[in-house]
This record gives sequence, structure tokens and C-alpha cells, in this order.
Amino acid sequence: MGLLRVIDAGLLATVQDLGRPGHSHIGVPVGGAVDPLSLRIGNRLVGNPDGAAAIELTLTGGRFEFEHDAVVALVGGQFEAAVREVSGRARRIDHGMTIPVRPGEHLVIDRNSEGARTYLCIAGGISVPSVLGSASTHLGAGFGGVEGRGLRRGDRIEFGTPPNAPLTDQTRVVGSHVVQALAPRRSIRAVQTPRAASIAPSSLAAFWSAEFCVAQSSNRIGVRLEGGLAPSARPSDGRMTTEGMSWGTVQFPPDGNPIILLCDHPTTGGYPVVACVASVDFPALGQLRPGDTVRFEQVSRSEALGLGIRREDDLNRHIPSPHDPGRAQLFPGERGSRVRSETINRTGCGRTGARRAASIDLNADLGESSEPARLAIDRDLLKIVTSANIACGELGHAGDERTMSEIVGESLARGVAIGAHPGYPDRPNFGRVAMNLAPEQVEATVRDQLAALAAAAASRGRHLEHIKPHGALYHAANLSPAIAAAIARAAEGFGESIVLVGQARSLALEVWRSMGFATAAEAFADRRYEDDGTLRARSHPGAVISDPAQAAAQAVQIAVNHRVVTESGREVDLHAQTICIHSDTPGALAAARAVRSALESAGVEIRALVC
Amino acid sequence: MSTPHASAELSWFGERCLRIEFAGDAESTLRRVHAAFAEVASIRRTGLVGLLDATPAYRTLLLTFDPMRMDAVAVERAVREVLKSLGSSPAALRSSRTVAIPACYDAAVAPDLEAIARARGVGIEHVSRLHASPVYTVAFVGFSPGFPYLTGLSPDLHTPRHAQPRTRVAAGSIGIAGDQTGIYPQASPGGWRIIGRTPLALFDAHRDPPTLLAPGDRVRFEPIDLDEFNRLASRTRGGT
Repeated sequence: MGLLRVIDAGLLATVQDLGRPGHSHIGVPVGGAVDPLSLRIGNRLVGNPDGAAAIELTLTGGRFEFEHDAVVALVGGQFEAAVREVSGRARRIDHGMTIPVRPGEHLVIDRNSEGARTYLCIAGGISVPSVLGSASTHLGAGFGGVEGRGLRRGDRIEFGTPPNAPLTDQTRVVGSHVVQALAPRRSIRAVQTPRAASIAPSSLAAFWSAEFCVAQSSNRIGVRLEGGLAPSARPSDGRMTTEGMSWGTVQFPPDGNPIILLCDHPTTGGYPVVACVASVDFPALGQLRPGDTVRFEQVSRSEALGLGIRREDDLNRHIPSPHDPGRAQLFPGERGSRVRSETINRTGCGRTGARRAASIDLNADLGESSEPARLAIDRDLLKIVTSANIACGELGHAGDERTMSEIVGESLARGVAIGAHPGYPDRPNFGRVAMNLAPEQVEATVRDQLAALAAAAASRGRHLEHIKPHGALYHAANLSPAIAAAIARAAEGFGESIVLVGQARSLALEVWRSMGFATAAEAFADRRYEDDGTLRARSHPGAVISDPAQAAAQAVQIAVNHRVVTESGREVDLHAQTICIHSDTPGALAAARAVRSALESAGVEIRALVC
Repeated sequence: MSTPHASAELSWFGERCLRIEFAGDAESTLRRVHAAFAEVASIRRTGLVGLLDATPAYRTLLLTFDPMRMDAVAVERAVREVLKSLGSSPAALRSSRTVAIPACYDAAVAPDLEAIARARGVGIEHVSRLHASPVYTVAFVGFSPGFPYLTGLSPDLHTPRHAQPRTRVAAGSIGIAGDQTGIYPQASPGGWRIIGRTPLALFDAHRDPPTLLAPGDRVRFEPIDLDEFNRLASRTRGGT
């Protein structure tokens, strides 16, 4: 525990954390740091949880005297800062690094030269009473923080004991992508709303192309823009029925001067909402200064989502949190519930050392029909996937010599990994019905099928890189260790490094690993999961996700967050190295393209399994 | 097109907000907004991962999510389930109580009162009687902490907002705008026409619940004179 004293609070200094979601229905907005990214970086540097309370300084800096030892970090807009020692000597300090401060020393933060807000984060966090679940100051209603007001000269503020040691200066973040993200943006990415359809096309076009100026009256409630539109381009659409508003909402009033709502926004409003700023640019909004010029750049909803995911990944890679991400402060009832523990699990099961960039393999079952139309789809899919599971011909569930040869050749040409897709030898049922075969019989037929495909590969100088059982055999391997083991035994002799692909969290994977095989866990972009991580049975409604955009979103969740949202809406861990792209459903290609492009925009590296 | 629950439309506003818009007459629409809110609030712990806020208004319920934690697919499905479970005509909001709000209709605390009376060729007393006689209903709480949107304003008082909002409206100001009336709990900028003022605190973050009024509550304004207003106002200020 320690104390600091406010010598000068500058234009406006308030205590802020990550806000108090869950109260908008009583008119209380989320509040918190206007630039939440800077706050989170600062907190991570000094060893705090992301949501620890800090001091938000506005435009003119401030001056603080420390009565006890402290470790602090300043993150946000560009400014000059120094620690004035007791001797009177000043040592210049940089932003984005941890700084020790001794008792009696003053931290002097001068006028910002760029950006609008700077966060003074202190190891242990600022201690103020929590009001409605948060330390943040709501100036309008006068609660939270220090007596619901801005800091004043003479205020003595308590800070806590850091739960974790601060990071060393080696982790200063200057130069990282994350700090680049803090650089001022003159173009604010936003998604157009359905409401925009009621705005005259000429006004709408003017909105997206105009350069606006940030007005003096901008504050924590909103960024007011002006001067962008000629009178003729102003929207005629007037007020509408009052409805809910949110952070990033862009109102377009009849005077043509847009208002971008920030975290202290009115919870409802009556001006038409033309666009919503992508949350990746909320920090940039928080750094806009009066007089800055900005324009809007239109992005799609999925681009906005992808940008956000990539930013989050970047942050975690460059400045890992010493804590769980601490983002689960939702409705008050949710505190301490399942979500929190799963968040911890997620960090807990991460790899040690630096976190790797997300990467994933995309696989598809191919060569299951010699019909020209199906082969054409297969060829197109080979432009999208990185692993081909090729049906093993007459001895298996589908395909023939020609399809095997064609798909092997096409895979080679595209650099796609060649794998076998053995199934029950039951062509009439396409391998989809479980056969009552003894493990030895399974082993024999799988070995024969692998040999057939291996021959097709060998004729082009290649060997099999992976094996993924098909249909009813795939499921049988999940239910019976004997069947799983039989498949693995059949795979012996097709190369030391051959990878066995099975359903994530399945019994088959356990068995294969215990037998010493390299394995890859497979997830599905277009199938719904149950709470226990199993696939929802196809006989149940909602088992298949037919909307490509939705499948794509699930793929990104799997690749980036290693999680899926289940049928019941729960979030469960799902670690997978490969995602299955179905080839036999209507719209397979559209779905495959959507999945691949969503993964790419989320910054996920798409590559074949490597072991 | 028109399935039984097609009278609610889902649309995404950016990547964070899902807006549910109900169609139909004002009364039944508001009932469904609140029924949907109650349902969302009850399933929020399990069914809507990443839900940050739910904001009811006259015709809409806006759901705001943490985009890093939500799954848009699961969200839409869960919301459709909620809408299905509502049926076409949920019960009216239970209004278990009527709250009396002391209201001072005196030009000293109501800067627009005289102009509104003049525009109608009536006296200030007539305007205050028109405003104080109905029993209003709280449609929802929005705009600023504790601000109640009240329905039931006499058509004789329907008045457009100021073209230019005032930069400061005093706490407790009672305003009218269009066919609605409401109370500013805090001093703030505002465009509603101010015809009265209450000494009551409509919002106190340290109180449980923080808001004086909740959706469905009935509200009556009880006229008080300026002296009474000042007396009560000083007590309210002293009491917090």
C-alpha cells in the first residue's frame, strides 16, 4: 500500500478502470478508460490485471508527489515526462516502460504533444471504493473514482500492493505493433448500419468521403465533428424514435456534424445512427484532440471483428498479461462464475514461453466421386485447403484409380499435403453406416486402402502425410479403443512421421497418442458443438451451420481463441490443429472461401500439419 | 415473411451491437421490449457469452457484446430462442406501485414554462394542471443515469424539442419533448422544454436500487410551491 498526492491535476484527471458494463438499462454507460488499450498496456507493464484502476490525464498532463515507493508506467498520447528527485535533479522518462519512483519524488507530466489522454498506471492499482462494480469516475452523475469528480490539488490517493512483479524495462513496448496501434489515426474504421439506408445517398456518400474536424466540445461523452459537409449534403432525415446507443455509435444529425459516442455516452438517443466505429479503433477515438482532422473508412462487420481479434492477439503476444485477461466483468451476476475460470484455463493451457502466432490447417475430404462436377469442386477446394484427405478407391468407401491419381496430382501442383481417407468398405452406403467388423478386419481393410493411395502417391514420388478415417469409421474410432488401435496399427509402415487426424477431445486421439503416433485434433467450422465438446448429432436441429459467415466466425474462434460457443451458448475450450472443410454439402465452396478469408483477415497462418 | 415472431427484426450495428426492433402498436411493442429484456437478463449467465449491456427503449432492445468473447452465431440463435419464447403478447409490465413526485411549476425553476403557456394562450396554472393530472408510466430508463421516459402526456402539451439543446439543464428539471415527459436526474445539456423541477434525487449510485423509478412504475406529479421546493431541495442535498 502507498499514497500519492496530487500537486496539479491538469485540465482533467480522473480515476478510471475498464468500466462498469451491465447498467445501461438504468442509464449508466460503461465508462472507464476512453483509451482502454493504453490502460491495459500500462497495467500489464506494472504487473496489474488489465482492469486495475489508474489515472486518466487529459491533454495537459499533471504533477504527482509519491509518499511511498512505487512502480509506475505512462501509456497513451505523446508527452514529456520526468521524475523530479528530492535533490531537485530531474530524470527524463519515456512512455511505455516501467519506472520506479521513490518517496518524496515528483512525477511531472507535461502537455501532450500528440494524442489526448495518458494513463498513469501504478503497480497495485489505485484504490478507491467500487461503485456499481467499478472504480471509474462518472463525472455527469458524480460517482465513482474520488468522490465522483476530477482529481484536485491536495487529493491523497491510495494505491495497492502489486500482485505480480512488474515487468522489467526489457519489455518496454516501444516499436511493437501494439504501440503502432497507439499512433494517432486520421482514418477511423467503421461499419455502416442498416439505418444508413434511410439517409439520402448523396449525404451518405459525403459522410464516407468528408474530412471532419474534431470540435472543442469533444469530451468523454463523445467526439463532436464539424465542418465536413456542404449544406447541400446534410442529411434531411431528422430524429427518430429514441433507441439504445453504444460506444462507437456515430450519430448523424440534420446539421451534418457527426457525433461519435465514447464510453460516457448517453445510453439512449434519437439521432439516426449512420455507422459504428470498429472497436479496434476505440483507442484511437480516445486520443483525438480538438482540431484534429479525421475521416471514416468503411469496413465490413467481419473485417471489424478480424481487426479486433488481430489486435488482441498482438497485444497478448507483445505484452502478455501477468494475469488472466480479466475481461469477464459483465453483468454483475456473472462475476466469479464459469466464465472466469474458463478464462484462466485458457491461459493455463497455453504453451510456455512466447505465445505463437495462431496457425491452422484446413483439410477437406476429396476424390469421393468421379463425376466431373464433383471433381471440379474438388479442384477448387484444393485452392483453399492445405491438406487433402483422399478417398482410397475401390477397396474403400468411394473413389477409384482415376480420382486418386487426379487428386494426388492436383494436390502436388497446389502444394497441398496428401493424406488418406479410409472408410468402411461399403460403397453402397458411402461408408456412412457402421459395419460390425472385428478390429483385425478393420486393420486389414485400412491397410489395403492406405496401400492403394500410397501407390498413387508413390507414382509421383510422394508418400502419405496423414490419415483421417471416414464417416462411420471415424466415429467408431471415437467409441472403441480397439477400432482406434486397429487404424493405427494399419498405419504402421507408411512412414514414421505420418499424422493421425481425429476429432478434437476424442478417445481416438488419446489412443493414438498413447501408441506413440503423431496426432492432429480436428474441429469443424460448420458443425455445432455440445457443452462437453462433442459434435451435436446431425439428427438434432441446429447441428449444421449452413451460413458461410457463421461457419467462418466459428473457424476464427477455434484458430485464434481455441474455443467454441456450444449449442447451449456456453463457451468451451477446443484445441485443434486442423479444421475440416466439408466438400459434400451444398455451398461447400462458398463456405470454404469464407472460412479461409476470415482466418486470413484474423491474421491466422494457414498451413499444413507439420510434426 | 410474417411468421408469428417475425414482428421482431434483428440487425447488427457494427461488430458489437445486435439490435432487436419490434413492430406493432406502441403499448404491445414496449411490453415485448421489456419481456425480451427480462429474458435476456435471466439467461445472461449462460446463454449469451460476452454480453455487456442490454438497453431497452420504446421499440428496440440493443444488446452490446464484447466482440472478443462472443460468437455472433450463438448470439443470434439464443436471441431468436428468446423471441420465440415471448409469444406474441407478453403480459403488461407489473406496475406494483405509484410514485408521487413533488413538482414545482414555477418560472423561477422552469425556464420554458411561460413560453409554453403563452404559445397556448393559457396561464401557467393551466399548463401545470395539464401536466400534473395524468398518471404517467415509466417506459424505460435511458439517456443519463436514472432518467425516466414517461408516457401519458396530454396531447395539449405535445411540444417539439428546442432546435438547439441548452448547454445546462438543472438536476431535477422536468421536461417535455414531443409526446413524452421526463426528468433530468443530473445537471446536463438537454433539448427538452423545462416546465417544472423536482427536489427528489432520481439517481443515487450508492442506493440499491440506484434509480428511483423503474420501467412499469406509475408516476404522479404533485405540485408544490417554490418555498416547498427550496425546503425539500435543501433537505435532499443535506441527506446524501
